[in-house]
Amino acid sequence: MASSHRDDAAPPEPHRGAEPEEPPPILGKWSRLYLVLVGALLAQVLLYAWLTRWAS
Amino acid sequence: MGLVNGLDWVVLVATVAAIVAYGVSQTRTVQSTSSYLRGDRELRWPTIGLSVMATQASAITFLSVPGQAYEDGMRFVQFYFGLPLAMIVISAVAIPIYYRLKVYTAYEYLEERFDVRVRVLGALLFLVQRGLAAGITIYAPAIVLSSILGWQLWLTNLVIGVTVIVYTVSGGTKAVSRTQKQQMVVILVGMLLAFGVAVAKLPEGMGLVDAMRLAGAAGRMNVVNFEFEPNDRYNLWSGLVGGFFLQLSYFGTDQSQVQRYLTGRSVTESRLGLLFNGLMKIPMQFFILLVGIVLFAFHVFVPPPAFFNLPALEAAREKDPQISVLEERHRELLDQRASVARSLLDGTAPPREIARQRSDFDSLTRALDLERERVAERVTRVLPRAESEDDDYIFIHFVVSHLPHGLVGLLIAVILSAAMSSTASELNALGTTTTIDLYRRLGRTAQGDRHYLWASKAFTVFWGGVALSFATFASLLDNLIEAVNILGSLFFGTVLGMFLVAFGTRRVGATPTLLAALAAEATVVSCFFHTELGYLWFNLVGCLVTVGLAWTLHHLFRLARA
Repeated sequence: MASSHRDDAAPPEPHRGAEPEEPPPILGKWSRLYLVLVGALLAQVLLYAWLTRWAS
Repeated sequence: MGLVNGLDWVVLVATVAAIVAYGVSQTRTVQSTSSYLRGDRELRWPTIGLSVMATQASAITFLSVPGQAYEDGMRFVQFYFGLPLAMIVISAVAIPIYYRLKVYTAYEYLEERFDVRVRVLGALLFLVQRGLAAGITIYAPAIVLSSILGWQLWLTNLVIGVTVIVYTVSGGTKAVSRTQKQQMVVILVGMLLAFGVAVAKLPEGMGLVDAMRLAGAAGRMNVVNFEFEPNDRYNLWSGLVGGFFLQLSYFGTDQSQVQRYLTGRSVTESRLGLLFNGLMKIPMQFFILLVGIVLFAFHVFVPPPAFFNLPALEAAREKDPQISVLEERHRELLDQRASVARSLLDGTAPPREIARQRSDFDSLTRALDLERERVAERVTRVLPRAESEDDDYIFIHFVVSHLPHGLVGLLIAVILSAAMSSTASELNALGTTTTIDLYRRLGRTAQGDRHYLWASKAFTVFWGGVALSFATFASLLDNLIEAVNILGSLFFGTVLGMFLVAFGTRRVGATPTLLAALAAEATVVSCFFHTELGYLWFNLVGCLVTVGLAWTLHHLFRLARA
């Protein structure tokens, strides 16, 4: 089967480098929001580790 | 069992009917393929987030997970540790690309990047795996609900399946996502109420902290294990690494999830929906497991049956008198353990005595587990069609035996809602992929929009029929649920590898990627048959082999050409 583009949709836009992206509604930058998620994960792991130790 | 009364039926039917009516009411706005398959891209992040969560949390999550904590402890929560990291990667990398290309399915991107062969391979792997899973999503809760409601299994399958097909086919993606929002609200409210009642029913003076202390004495509070052990199914490392790759593949490349967040109004809405899932998923799973811990503590003082599938136990008891003897022994051990538990909770003994009490409590719990295994063995010996694992019945047994009427109906509605929400996403995605990646791409390539709209509906009905058929015949096979779970891990890594090659490299072409994917599949299948590796690691193996080999073959081909 030969390669071809979809016949019903606009061709993909060419890469134009880093396009400006809409910032998140809080914290100003997506990278900060991602860090919050990593921090929340770390906090949960530590909390659960403490819980495991406390209950054993 | 006669444990579901008129009030329960009113609550159950009203809840489910309201959700289905709401789903069907979305039909009015569906007038084009884009509207039917992408919901006109108008949804906000709370709907996307809840829809993504509802798709992953099937009925078996709410039936099985409390039972898993009851039997095996809290360690299953580690399975989700890689999920927030996967949400970040998908938000940063995949979502902007999917939006830029304006795709309906994830597999369209594979053709943009490679060629139609890779796209079709990705779509077929999804259809096989998800087609089987949709049957199980119906079958797994049906087998438990048929036992509780006293219905025939085929009838329960039919009720769940037809209900879902009606609103999924009529309303499309928008109906699926919006009903999932209502379903998640029903599910969370129901589980919170069940948890509250379970805590309130603990003996006087005993609270949640005491329940966790008791569970800890029996090794059930094993939430995190830092030790690296490849054959151990759930520990911090398998959850973070294996779980990361599994979740990356599931959320990034499985159309049943991709379709959920492609309904977003913008990249920002889709990202926020996924990050919401990343933030809420682990606490939600922890909470559902905690329900199982409270049930464990509750049954330390309120004697549980020796086998939680009561209809099967009663039928087996009539055929094998030895089961009653084992049950008597089980009751004696329960009495002994309750006595030790009271002393332990009293907490006035010197530290050395408390240590001895904890050790006794643990030993008695192990002895009880052994007795339960013996009963299960006897039950399945006289009733070969009965499930030997009764974990899935632990939560529902508590619901119908110890919750007030009305709440019983609501909790059965929770199970049905969860079954419907997952199945709806799956059927929606199966219909979409068949239409867009196979029918429109390889079959009828130049038809009008209305033609594809009706084709999407027809394929959704078709996959609903396949899922229902599979659910009906599933009872003839052994260990099916485990088999399908492992089947998912056999494919996820390879599919993810194909997408990572696409996202991460610019030069590796279609042929090296195809060959690498086939070799990766062979490697994963070989690992499955010839090693003891925990199944979460299959995702990592499949992914690494696909990426590594595609890159190597690309360079070898270049050298050969030179």
